[in-house]
Amino acid sequence: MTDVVRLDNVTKRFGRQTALRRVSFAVPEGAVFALLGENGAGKTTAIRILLGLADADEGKTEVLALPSATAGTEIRRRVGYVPEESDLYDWMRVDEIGWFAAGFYPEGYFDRYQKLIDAFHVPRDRKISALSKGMRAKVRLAIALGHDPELLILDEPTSGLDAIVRREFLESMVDRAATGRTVLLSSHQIHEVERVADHVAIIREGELIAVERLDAMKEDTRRLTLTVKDLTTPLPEFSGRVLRMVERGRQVDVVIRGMSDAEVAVLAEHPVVEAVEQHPVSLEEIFVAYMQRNGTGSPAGKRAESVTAPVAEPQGGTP
Amino acid sequence: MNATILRRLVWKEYRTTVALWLAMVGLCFFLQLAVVTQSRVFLPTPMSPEDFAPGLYGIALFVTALYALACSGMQYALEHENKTFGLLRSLPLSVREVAVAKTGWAILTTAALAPVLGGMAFLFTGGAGLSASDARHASVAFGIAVSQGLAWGTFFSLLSSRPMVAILRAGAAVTVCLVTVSAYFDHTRYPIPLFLLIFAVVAAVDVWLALRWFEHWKVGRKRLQIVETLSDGLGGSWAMPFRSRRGEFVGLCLHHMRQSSAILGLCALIVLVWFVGRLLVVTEVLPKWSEWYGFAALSIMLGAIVYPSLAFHADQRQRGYRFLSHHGVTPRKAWWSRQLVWGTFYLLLTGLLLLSLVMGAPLRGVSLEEVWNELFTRPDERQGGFTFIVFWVLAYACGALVSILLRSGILAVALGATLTVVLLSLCSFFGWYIGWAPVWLIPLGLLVASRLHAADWLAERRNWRSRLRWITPAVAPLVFLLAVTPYLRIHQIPYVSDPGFSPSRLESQTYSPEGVARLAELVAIAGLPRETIVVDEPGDDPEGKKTEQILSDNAVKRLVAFTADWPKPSPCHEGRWMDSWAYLAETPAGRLHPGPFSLVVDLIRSFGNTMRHYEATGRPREALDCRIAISRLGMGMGSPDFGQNPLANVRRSARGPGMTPELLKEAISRLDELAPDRLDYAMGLKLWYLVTHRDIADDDYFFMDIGERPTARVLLPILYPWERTRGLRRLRYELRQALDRLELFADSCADPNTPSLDLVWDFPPVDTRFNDWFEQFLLGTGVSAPLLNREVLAIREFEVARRRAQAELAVEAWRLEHDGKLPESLDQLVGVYLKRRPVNPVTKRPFRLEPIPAELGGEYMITSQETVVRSK
Repeated sequence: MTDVVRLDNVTKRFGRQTALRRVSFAVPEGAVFALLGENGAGKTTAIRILLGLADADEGKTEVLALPSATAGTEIRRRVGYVPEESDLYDWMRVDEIGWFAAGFYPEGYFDRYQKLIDAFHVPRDRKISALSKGMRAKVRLAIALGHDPELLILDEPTSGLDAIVRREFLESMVDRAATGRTVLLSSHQIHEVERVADHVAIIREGELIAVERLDAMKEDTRRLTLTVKDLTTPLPEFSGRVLRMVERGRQVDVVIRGMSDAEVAVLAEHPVVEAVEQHPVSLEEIFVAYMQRNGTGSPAGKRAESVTAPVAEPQGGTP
Repeated sequence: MNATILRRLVWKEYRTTVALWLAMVGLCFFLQLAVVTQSRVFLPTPMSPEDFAPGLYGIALFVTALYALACSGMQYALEHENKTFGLLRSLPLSVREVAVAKTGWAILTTAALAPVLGGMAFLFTGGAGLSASDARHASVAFGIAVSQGLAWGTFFSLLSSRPMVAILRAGAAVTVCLVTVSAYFDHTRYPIPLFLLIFAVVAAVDVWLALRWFEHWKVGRKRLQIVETLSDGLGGSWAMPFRSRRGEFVGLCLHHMRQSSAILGLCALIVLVWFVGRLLVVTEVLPKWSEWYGFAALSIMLGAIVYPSLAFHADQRQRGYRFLSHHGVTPRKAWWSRQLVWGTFYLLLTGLLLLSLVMGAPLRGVSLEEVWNELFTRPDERQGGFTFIVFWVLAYACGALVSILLRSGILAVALGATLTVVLLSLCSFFGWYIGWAPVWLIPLGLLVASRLHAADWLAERRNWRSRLRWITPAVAPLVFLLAVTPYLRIHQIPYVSDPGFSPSRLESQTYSPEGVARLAELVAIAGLPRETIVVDEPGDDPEGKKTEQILSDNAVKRLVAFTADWPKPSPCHEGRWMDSWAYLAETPAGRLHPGPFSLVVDLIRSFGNTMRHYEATGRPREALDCRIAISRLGMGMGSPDFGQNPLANVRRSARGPGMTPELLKEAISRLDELAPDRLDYAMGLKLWYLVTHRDIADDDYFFMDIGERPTARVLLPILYPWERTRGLRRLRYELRQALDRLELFADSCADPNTPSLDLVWDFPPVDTRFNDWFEQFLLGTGVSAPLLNREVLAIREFEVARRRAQAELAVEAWRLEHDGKLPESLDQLVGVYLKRRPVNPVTKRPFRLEPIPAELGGEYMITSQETVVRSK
């Protein structure tokens, strides 16, 4: 399987601020790749660099085997891109904006665009200004898909959409991936992304802190609830990488990676531990755990520094 | 570069800017129309279409330059304001293609606008063009303004996300650049290389920024933050709205203050530049600044329109008004707080302008009282002050309405400007037509409309009821004024049931054979052969010679005989005018000749030449006959004007060889026949002529001032049908007045004990408001009616001249009998040459003989003045 997108040690600075710091990842062909991160983490900057809309200060990027730095226009011609916070020309009609965009793409764009519009049940002759937010999102998606791109890049595509439209939208991504096309999306809607993504990259403050297949990530990550006998005695050493640990009285919630079932059994036998309970872990929990700054390393001897704030219960768990 | 891509981009730019382009065409049209129509109000004498040419072409070029600035200023920033920048960037476009399309389109449409607006000026001026020097001057100034506008507009558009702010910044930059650079150069030699250098530098920066627009616009924008911070400083971040319910109104005011500060700062900058420039011009520190005085003044006029057009803009952008509605702000508070802030700032801006005018006047040696009188108390009703006050209020009201209706700031400004110009023309029309008081209904209606729309604006209601709520108060005053104007116009003239004549009755009568015979006689006299003589008269001819036609002795005899019993006593009051040859003008006999009037004018001219020839060749008696006959002929055709001049120089004819006292006595008695009791006859003829020639007057005078434009011939009678009714009503009224005055005058002349006749003329005057502008060129009846009073005045003056002429002839007769000595007074002549001592019929003072000392040239004068002012 070839990589459709490749970032190699990419660094981008805006003045004194570093937006991306030596970020490297690759998106394999046919994948639905989710780029996750907080606001201002650098997701949009990474996408802009990929599309040739911004220059990287260091490193290399390639999309569809084309260098982003020099072939931005060609990349955007072959890629479908739904930018964040973009709006459509209010004064155009739905079919007009498709006709307008068709001028920039190869033959056949407008026919496909119209089919998509019909499939999305958006009236062709209606003005953009008269469309609802969901319909506008569908038009934006139709514009991005009109040329049947090999790669679709979506930057916060479901932001502001209601649940039904969001579900339709994301399901169309799955359909797309099923046809062998690649989708790269960045989103805050973690649990929605979880439905469709098969690869995940997490960026925090410009640094890539995780990138792997979603199922592998979830398989390798456990959420344990430890009930301890004595609050004053230090917890035992965890064999994996603790992403997050939260204390609630005698109970300790731990999100941990790289811990085997045998190691969990050993932990349950520890004299301090009264009981260990395992929960299915969701992508949102993993994401939140990664975003905690003190969630790495061994918790031994650091109970006083652990997070004591209550953590929201996972909603619905892993599907 | 892909042609298909460029075509699509150009199509998008076309759709984005076509409204602005058309708005500029509309703005220019109404500005030019306003100049043409308003100049008729403000200028004492009508201007010919050619005189408008520099002004109208100047407007065309100015609006084109304004479009260049606005188009280039909005093209990049608009993508950010509409949030379409992301979409544009997501498409497979190179920024070079976008820049080429945008800049190319701005240049192309500017180039297309110039000939359209120039063509409009061409039509307004009736095909007149600019002189070669004006054209050269204008083309250079236009080129500089357009190039600077394009360069600076693009520059600020690339660095801004708000088109309106970008345009204002660019406008300020262009103004400052043009004014400061031009301040140091003579207008006859523009600093073209310097302007080219500025253009090249700014354009190079534009190119650099444009090629990085997709990537770096936010980074570049940071460099403007210091400017934004400064311009926002007026509002200050201390404006904390909605802190408490009690302080909500104050909070709202502070909120608006902060919103308006950027725009206010830029407007204030432009005003300040103009203000300082004006002071420097009037103090002659920098007289060359006056070159841009008109440009700057026009900028300020537009600024006064632009500023209020953005009153609601800050909350219109990205539906910021939802912030207000979500915080439970009532429409009343939202509207009034905004008016308080924007209105105050607007007053500050305009106050600064007023201050510059007030300060400038004394510096130029004009007192403030003179300025006041010129603006508000001119007797000719061309009081421009009212128009300017209406302009300021109207601009604000239009701006308040369009800015609450439209979310686009650019369109709001364009529409606000156009609406202001259109409504100002209408206000001016109504102001001069029916008075200024009702005009205030129009801006008031607009303000009420914006207030009523505030609730629908916050609630985002867009149904027909909400539209009706603002349309009704906005349009109602206009409809009311348009409906009431014809009624008021007609009823400004008192209705007269009996004007003293009846044209229809006259037209039903048959003409008399005697009248036909008299006209035939006149035609026959005119057809007699004439002589051509050469006279010494220095004038246009460098040799001091000119040729004149004189009548033969036979023709003179027949003319004198023709006028001997004419005009006959035939008071017009009774409508017995059938003996008048003038009536024959409308008969088949009259049509045999080009027209009795031209016939008589031609005869009088030759008759006058003959009279002077007789005087020069020592035939005083014939000359005197000619004088009296000419007077009779003039009176007979209904115009004493023709008869007055011969009597003024009667003394010259009385001194020739062969003149005897008896002949002079005879002349005096013949002049008695032209006494006032006969003058009304001439007046009647004149009135009748005007009535029966109404159609001719319509054709001849109606279009006299507006030229030979076929559209005017068709449109004006359709647009103002009531004026014909009013004109006829006025004719009846003026006629009745004239006849009454004439009768009083005749009675007064018959009664020497009447103290003064001045009171006779104190009839209530017709309301002639707007006549100068409108009636004189619109309706023939409007032209003819004022002539009636002039006619009465002419009759009065003729009577004074006739009595003085009789006194002079009596003095000359005395001198003939007393070896050239003058009588001691006119009393010595009474009973011998005069029936009674002559009295001035107007002042009621007796004429007296006033000898003129030899050192002042000698001779004497007949006067009724108590003291005679003499000078060397």
